[in-house]
Amino acid sequence: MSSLIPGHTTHTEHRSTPLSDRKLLMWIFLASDCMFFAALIGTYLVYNGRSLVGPYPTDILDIPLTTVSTFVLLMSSFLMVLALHAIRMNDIPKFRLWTLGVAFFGSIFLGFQVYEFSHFIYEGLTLQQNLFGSTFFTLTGTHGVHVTIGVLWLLSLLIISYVRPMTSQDALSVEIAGLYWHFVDIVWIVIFTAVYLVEFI
Amino acid sequence: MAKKTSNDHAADHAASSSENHHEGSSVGFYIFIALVLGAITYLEFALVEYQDTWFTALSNLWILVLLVVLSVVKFILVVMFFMHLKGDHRTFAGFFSSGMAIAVGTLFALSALFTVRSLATAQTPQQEGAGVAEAQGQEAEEHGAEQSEQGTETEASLAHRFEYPAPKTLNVDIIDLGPRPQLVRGGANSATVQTDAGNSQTASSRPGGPPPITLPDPFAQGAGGAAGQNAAQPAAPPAGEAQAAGGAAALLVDADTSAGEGVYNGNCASCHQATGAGVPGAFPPIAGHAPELALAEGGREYLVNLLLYGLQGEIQISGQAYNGAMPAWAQFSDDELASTLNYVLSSWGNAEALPPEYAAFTADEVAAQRDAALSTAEVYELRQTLELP
Repeated sequence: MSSLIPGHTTHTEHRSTPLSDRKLLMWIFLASDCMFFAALIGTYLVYNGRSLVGPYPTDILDIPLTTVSTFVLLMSSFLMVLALHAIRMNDIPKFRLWTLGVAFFGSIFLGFQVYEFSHFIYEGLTLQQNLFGSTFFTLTGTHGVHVTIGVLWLLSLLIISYVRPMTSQDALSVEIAGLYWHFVDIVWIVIFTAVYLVEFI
Repeated sequence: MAKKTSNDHAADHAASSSENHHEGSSVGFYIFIALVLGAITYLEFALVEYQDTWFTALSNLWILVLLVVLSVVKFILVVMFFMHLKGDHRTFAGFFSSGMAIAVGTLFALSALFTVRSLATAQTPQQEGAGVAEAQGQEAEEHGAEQSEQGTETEASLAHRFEYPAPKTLNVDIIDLGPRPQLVRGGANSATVQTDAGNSQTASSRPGGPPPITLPDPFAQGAGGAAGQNAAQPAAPPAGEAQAAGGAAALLVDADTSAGEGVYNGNCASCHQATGAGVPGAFPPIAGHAPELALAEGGREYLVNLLLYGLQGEIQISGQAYNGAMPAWAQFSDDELASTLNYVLSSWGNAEALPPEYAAFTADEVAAQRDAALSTAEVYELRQTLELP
């Protein structure tokens, strides 16, 4: 990886803090992912209430269940910062513990989603049933894929920590995975409000 | 992974040193943030779940505003403190906030695209307040003008929103095949069909058939003559008679249908087509078919119920099966729905199939059916019970 920022290596006196290319790349990716999810959420919202046939959102969305899975995802974000803190402190056992916790909580969230999806399909809501089904599954399914990728990413970091000695030098890799994970969390914060809560006011 | 550049290492050091610098007890701080996030999530849950017991003082709008604010707060907390955007290099914040700005802009643009059109062609479903109902009467006229203007404009966009092929030639066929009164009476041999007359005959001759239900007719005063006539003689009077009487369904034609035209073009035409021809197999034709319903026993109430509550289930019209779904349109005012019915019954040659004294629909007739609160399945049942054509 080479420096992408003009004047990065030569004119150090113009910078306050050095920029990490990989981290910058992740932030740019997250910015673009914002737009991606905005399109999906926007599509869901504008087609909301336009389904000609049921099941309709209020028939099958389950607020208590989704609140629990939202809470689980939020807490996984909390464990993520603890994992990052641990590796910065060079505390590898704790890093492994927290990272495993994040992956575990992420898997619980995915489990909730699998249960939710199969329940919905059982209730007759499929991708092609109505506008609600199409937009809902596309939006939450895309988010679920993001969570799955995040879980795999964190598990691979965990495996790496057993394969070779990890030091605080690896903190950047963990931090970038963490950025991705937190982003998945904030997207869910928006989906939880826009798709689930608002429906039941 | 490529090997780290010196600049990555530098970033590490900068990040961790800056972190250590202003967050001595960062774990405690993270726990605090996590607790706040959890508490907000519970509050959001409570706002929705216990809205009717704990938060009765808050109107729906306030709940909505609170929910949006709370989720924005959560969003910001995670971005600032879990993603460390606060205190990190400003370039990151710059990129991320540009992305966010475009994202929020996309959201607003999308909803504007849809809601602006909906405002022009439909009223929001929440308009049930008494104040609104009062205002609607006054609004109706200007609204009508506005709608007819918008209607034509949105027609094209609606047409391509639904990706149905528009089978022009087929539509024409449907109109031609449509069981007009003269066809019905003239040709029992005609391949076209089970029409009013045919249907009611088979009904009476069928031993196990359910007895036809006659609904109370709350608007007999206007349509009394016509209704009585229909009961005795289910089929429409011959077209010749109607024309001889000078202007078919004169009362209907004279009714003000400008509001209805706007409603139709903005909401109905995407399925039933601007020509009222419908789409074979999915959406029944209105041209030629609506008068049959209007003249059938219980047909007037059925038409009102159909608009108010929608219809779902396979139906047979002129030997052709239709299995699209009709949404409920209860969000429109009584005036608008009556006007829409009058519009379709006086358009596309429908008026010629109705007797001159056929009364126009009134807002009161629509209002009379509001309490019924039928489901789409019940409307379907009503249709089958009445054995409508």
